[in-house]
Amino acid sequence: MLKDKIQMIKLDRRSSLSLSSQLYNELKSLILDRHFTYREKVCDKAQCAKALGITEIEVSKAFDQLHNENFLIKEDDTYYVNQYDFSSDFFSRIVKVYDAIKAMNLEPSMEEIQRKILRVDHALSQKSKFKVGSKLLYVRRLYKGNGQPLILLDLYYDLELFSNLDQHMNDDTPIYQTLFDHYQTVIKKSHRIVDVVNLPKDIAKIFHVRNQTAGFKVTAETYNQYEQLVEYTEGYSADNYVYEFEINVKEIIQDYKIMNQNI
Amino acid sequence: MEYILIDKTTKEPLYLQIKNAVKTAIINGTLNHMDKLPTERELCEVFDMSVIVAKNAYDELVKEGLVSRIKGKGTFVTTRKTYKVPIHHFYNLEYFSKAAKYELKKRVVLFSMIKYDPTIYHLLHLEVDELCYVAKLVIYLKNEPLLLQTLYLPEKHYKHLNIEKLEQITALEMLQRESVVRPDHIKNVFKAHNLTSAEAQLLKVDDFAPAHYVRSFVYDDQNEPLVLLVSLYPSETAKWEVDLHA
Repeated sequence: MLKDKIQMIKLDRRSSLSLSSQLYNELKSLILDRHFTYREKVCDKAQCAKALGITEIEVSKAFDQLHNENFLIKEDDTYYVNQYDFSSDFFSRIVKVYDAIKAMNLEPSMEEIQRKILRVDHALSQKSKFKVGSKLLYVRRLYKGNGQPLILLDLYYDLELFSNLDQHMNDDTPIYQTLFDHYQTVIKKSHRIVDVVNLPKDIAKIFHVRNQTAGFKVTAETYNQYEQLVEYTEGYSADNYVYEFEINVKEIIQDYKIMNQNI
Repeated sequence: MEYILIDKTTKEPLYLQIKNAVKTAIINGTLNHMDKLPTERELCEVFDMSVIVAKNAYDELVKEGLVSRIKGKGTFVTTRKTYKVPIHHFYNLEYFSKAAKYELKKRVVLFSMIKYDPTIYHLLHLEVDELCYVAKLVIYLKNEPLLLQTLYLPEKHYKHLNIEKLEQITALEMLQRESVVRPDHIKNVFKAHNLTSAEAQLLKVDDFAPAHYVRSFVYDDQNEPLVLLVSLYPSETAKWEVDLHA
């Protein structure tokens, strides 16, 4: 935590509220107002206590309460801010995962966990709309920000449209770029369903969170310029991930009007 | 059981035909939460099939979490109707009620006034000596809870607030009709949330069930926060749908 943030913390010694509660409230407000970046280190207890002229015990109390409420995470006695937000772009246009992570002021990286060719079975066909029996390339990738897991993507591609995709796909080129370079496919539309699930064991483990922690599950069907289904994805993120979406009140009023006309 | 059609001239296995028919009936609202399914024996009698086939079909439905067997009573639909709502409509509860062709019912479970809460007051830019109403509402559709809403309504914008009003019109409509401030835009933050046992009880879902947590601030054109709403939609009842174009 930088000096300027400590300076933003105001404690009132005449208040009936304890200094640790005041510090707790101030820090929580700073986090909620997004003065921190995700995983930003909160200064160590001694430093914080010294700068604010309070005891380390009082600092501990405030930090621990924020830790209990999931605003901070603790690793080897160091506290990090545990809230971060994704740009509102998520609900408005198709963005590259790397760009989205950069927009959060984090350094993006990617780890490919699995890649294989599979045949569509009944269950996969029902959710993905790919035909039973067709051959797909399945890739599981974990996208990270500053080395921390952010988004897990299970990607499925129709190999009838993209033969040998396996050989063209590499870690350095965005997938949509590869689809364009080798198959002249242009991504046109993506239909997404945003859901919340309790993360299954294997996925919770990847995000270093408790089994059954709630997380987002976003499924997407993506179509090309010929309205062919080119990609099906299931994406996961953990409970410290938030999306923003802004609406104008005028739109709401308009919306109500249109609906009432329809009725 | 008229929602099941068995066609023995096709190649599709019988157990799948039953399973898919029941699933479709649940999705399109023919079958509702806690409706009883025909017994396996009844299925055998009507569709002239073996008990194993009927059992397999129900096993599949149980596996998918759509129905449950209750000992001594039968097999019941235990899933709720899920509303897929375009993200641009999520704040518009009328959209749900239109999709369900049913009226929404609101029930206030808490109505109180807070004197000072550091976080809430900070977020709503309220002074220590100002007052703020807190209300908790459960909103029902077809007698099933759809969402739980906690509203923080500063007293200065809501002079004559009471429980009846809360149940009749939305916080936004009240602002537009009865206050001098002009709501301009709403910022919403979406989070994944595990329901606490109290929240789960009000929403009639399992403890710790996943839910959409939506924190919405209503602002005026000067970007001053007017109202804070926290909505919890269990994943069982609502999913957001969005179409993106490149």
